[in-house]
Amino acid sequence: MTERVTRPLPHVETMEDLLTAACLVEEAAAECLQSLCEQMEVHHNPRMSALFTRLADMRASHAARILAEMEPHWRAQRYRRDPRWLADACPGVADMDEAHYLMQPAHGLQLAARSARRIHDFFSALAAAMPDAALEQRAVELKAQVAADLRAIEEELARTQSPREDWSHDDDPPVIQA
Amino acid sequence: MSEARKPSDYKSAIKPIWCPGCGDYGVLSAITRAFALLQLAPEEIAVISGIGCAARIPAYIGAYGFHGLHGRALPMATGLKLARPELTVLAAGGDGDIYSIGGNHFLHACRRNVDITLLVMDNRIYGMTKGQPSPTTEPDFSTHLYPAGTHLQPLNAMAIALIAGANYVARAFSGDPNGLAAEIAQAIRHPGFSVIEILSPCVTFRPGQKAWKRQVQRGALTPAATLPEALAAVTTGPQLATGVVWKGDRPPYAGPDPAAGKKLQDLLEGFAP
Ligand SMILES: Cc1ncc(C[n+]2csc(CCOP(=O)(O)OP(=O)(O)O)c2C)c(N)n1
Ligand code: SF4
Ligand SMILES: [Mg+2]
Repeated sequence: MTERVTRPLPHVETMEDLLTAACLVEEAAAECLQSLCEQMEVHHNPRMSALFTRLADMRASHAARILAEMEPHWRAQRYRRDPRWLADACPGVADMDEAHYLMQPAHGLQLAARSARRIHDFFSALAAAMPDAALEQRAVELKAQVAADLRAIEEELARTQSPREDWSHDDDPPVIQA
Repeated sequence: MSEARKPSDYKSAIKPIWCPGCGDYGVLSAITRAFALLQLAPEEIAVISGIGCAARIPAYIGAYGFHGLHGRALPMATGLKLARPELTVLAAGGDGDIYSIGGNHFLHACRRNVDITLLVMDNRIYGMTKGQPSPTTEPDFSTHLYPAGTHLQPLNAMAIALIAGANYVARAFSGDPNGLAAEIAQAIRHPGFSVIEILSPCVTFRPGQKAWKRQVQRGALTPAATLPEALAAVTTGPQLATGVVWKGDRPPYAGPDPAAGKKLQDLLEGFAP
């Protein structure tokens, strides 16, 4: 989200650094979307649970591809880095506080689009800062991949009905009204 | 090299029942990342809690856990750590659980300085019981029980933790699971009693707390050289500043010296008929 404060980019010097950063970002995004899927399942919103599963799978499949490209010891080391190395607010982390038990597909797609846009901007900034051509090329590929996802999400959003104004109205609300 | 443990390896099979959007999801995510960062074995971790939305967290973690009595996370965690010092012991709960009904235990846990990490998910409300004011609720915040606010001064728990002797004191934000994970890992590593006050929005009873993601001042707290400086930072500094404010060097309390006193078996024999 644009309002998020972001710290400088991670220090990337090697292919291990780049792929570790990319993998951690995609894994964090997939974890958030998977958590949203579970939240919707628990709160009896199966339509949104299915949507978040699909969106989580999209990010998880990128993480899996990047992992397959990494050397085994890079994979093993990726969680041992200080998480703040990556960035202050990991670009993959979704705006979880926007979840609502009555949320509609358009809300879920908007949330996923914002997350994808942040990841795109992150890869874009990384590509511009790479120390050599091979790293730059791989960062550009990562950026192109997430750009394709973002387009797909935005196209789906354009086909999706906008929520009614009273979408969050509940005849039997859980919150005691003041 | 064997496959490293992933954050997801530290999640239990139970799905959280917090409201969608609750800040506590970010805390759960950060705890699992901290465990992965330290590569702790799940059977060497215990997470102890009392009662409240926040206190449900041990159920969602794939390690030993105990969801105990309201306010009693810290005495249980203290007993466990003294009996099983090799375990990494975390205590977790909400502002009501830890600072209100558990306030007395909080004081003495700071004073005793047993090697435990306390995570307080502060949403400035009793979430689980539907929105009563807690010790950290702002004086003018109106609830259905206090329509005009409580007009009571909120507790400055970080200042109290410093004065009472906690060895590591920090504030963090649940909306920054990476930063929070790093802080939790640091707190676990730091010997003695560590307190992290985590700003964790209650989106249901305090929807205004969604604004915290724009308001928190990340990293505005830095380790102070002296206790008075740390106190000044948490009393006169911004109340939504995050970071570590105190890294003390008091030796942790590890229980009475077994050689100096009676052994448990002697005590039990003393009670035997
Ligand atoms: C002995 C006892 N007194 C009161 C209660 C009712 N009670 C349950 S949770 C809670 C407060 C929870 O607030 P907090 O610790 O801030 O957690 P949150 O739900 O906000 O995460 C209270 C008063 C109880 N369960 N046991
Ligand atoms: S009531 Fe508040 S603290 Fe409890 S689960 Fe819901 S949002 Fe979280
Ligand atoms: Mg609370």
